[in-house]
Amino acid sequence: MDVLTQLLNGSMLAATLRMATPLILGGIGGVFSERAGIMNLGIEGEMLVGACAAAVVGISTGNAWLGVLGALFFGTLMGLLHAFICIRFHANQTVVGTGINIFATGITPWYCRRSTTARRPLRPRLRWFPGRCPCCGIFPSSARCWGPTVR
Amino acid sequence: MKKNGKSASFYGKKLLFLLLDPVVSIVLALVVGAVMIWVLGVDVGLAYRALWQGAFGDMNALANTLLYATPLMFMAFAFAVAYRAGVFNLGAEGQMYIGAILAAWAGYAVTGIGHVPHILLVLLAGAVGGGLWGAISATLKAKRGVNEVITCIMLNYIAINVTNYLVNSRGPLRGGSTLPATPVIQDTARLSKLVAGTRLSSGILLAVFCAVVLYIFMWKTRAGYKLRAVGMNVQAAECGGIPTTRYAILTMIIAGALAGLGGAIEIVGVHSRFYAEFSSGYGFEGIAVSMLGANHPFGILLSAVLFGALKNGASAMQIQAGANAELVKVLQALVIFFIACRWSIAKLIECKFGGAARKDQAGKAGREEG
Repeated sequence: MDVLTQLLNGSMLAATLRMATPLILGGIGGVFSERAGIMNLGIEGEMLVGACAAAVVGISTGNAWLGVLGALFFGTLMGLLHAFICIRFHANQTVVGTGINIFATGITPWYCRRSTTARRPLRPRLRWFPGRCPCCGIFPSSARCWGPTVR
Repeated sequence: MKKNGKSASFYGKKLLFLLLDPVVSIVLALVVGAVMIWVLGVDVGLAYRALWQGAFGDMNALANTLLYATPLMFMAFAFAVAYRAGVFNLGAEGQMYIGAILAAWAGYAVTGIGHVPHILLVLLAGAVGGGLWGAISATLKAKRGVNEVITCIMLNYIAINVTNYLVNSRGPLRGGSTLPATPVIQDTARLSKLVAGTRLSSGILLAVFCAVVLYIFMWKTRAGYKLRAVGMNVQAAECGGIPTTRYAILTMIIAGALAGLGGAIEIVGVHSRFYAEFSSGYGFEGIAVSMLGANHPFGILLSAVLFGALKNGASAMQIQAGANAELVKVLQALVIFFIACRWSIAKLIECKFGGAARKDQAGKAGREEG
């Protein structure tokens, strides 16, 4: 019982939710394509590019929501690339999915490098999100939940 | 005699067409890569020259390229055998880990036998470990109809974390050092260096040997023929009297054994002990290598050298030209995309000329009729 109470405290739950979030979102993406009969192995790469886009857009605009929009856009773009190669050129889904993953591990450092060597470097600006969750205002300690958009 | 000469030229033409697609894909990838390097503000010529020098510039560079290529070859064999039999083996990474740790264990725990028997024992341990690991997902597929892609990916995680546990602090196979690794293997278990002063071991020769054996097995034996028949059309193979489930299991065992062998060679040839998470994603790169090599053992040898060269030249490109090393990952991915597209240049040429010829004939026929 002692172990159980140790496991079931607030911070543990919070950490569990935090670590589960990407899995949940990635899993939903997987279910989405799996139900349509598509083996989508490129989720990892799509997530990576989305994360990079979120960081870059979030930093340059100072707004996390725009960052999320950017992540949506570029994640979709990667999915589109995957679909284009598979459908237009009759390529194998699994192979292109692995290719997407390798592509993402290469293109994201390249982009970060480019943005640091660009003439006008992107300057991070610290912006705090409104302390309360916009969809459910009752969420406790929402400041910790959202945190600063850019540290 | 005349007939013989004709067939030789025919095969030469076929080979040329076979090589055309990969070469065009590589060139296209390099062109796109050049644009990306240019965007970074780096001298493209300098970057590619550094890449070439780093990969093939001197003996040491060449040795390192082949060193990187060796595990890729085995992973690609593991994928290609399964692919030819219609099974998607994404579990090469896990099979390699299990093979590697068993090989490392056999390498340090067994003492007092000669050099050759010890090497053979270690390689056998690796092959058996990988083969058994591959057999798990094959059995699940054959008996319960579980998708092998899912089980392979899951078993990858299991293999990596089990080996992590075995060599981490308080793990049963932990060596005396501060590293999360097994003890160093016996001297009798080490593969000899192929070129003195470099890290290249004779593992590359074993890879070439495996390629030849694999080719003979797949294309010159009855079992290999049945295996490919299952891959081309399961129903037809079943109707033809081939026990398809048994062949699916056999395929995964062979594939797993090849991946395990690759892991064992990586241990006894390069690291001399098993490190936790020693692989940098060889299993997944193996898929790309296999596709680039048209899932053929000899094609794989060439494409593995290309991928090894890219991997090896990357750091030189970063140091000398200032383009970051991850750029070669983009090159690899682009090669995969272009290859996967199957916009076969050879077919395109044939269609263009063939289509034009047909049109000409049709036009002539029409005119004659008119």
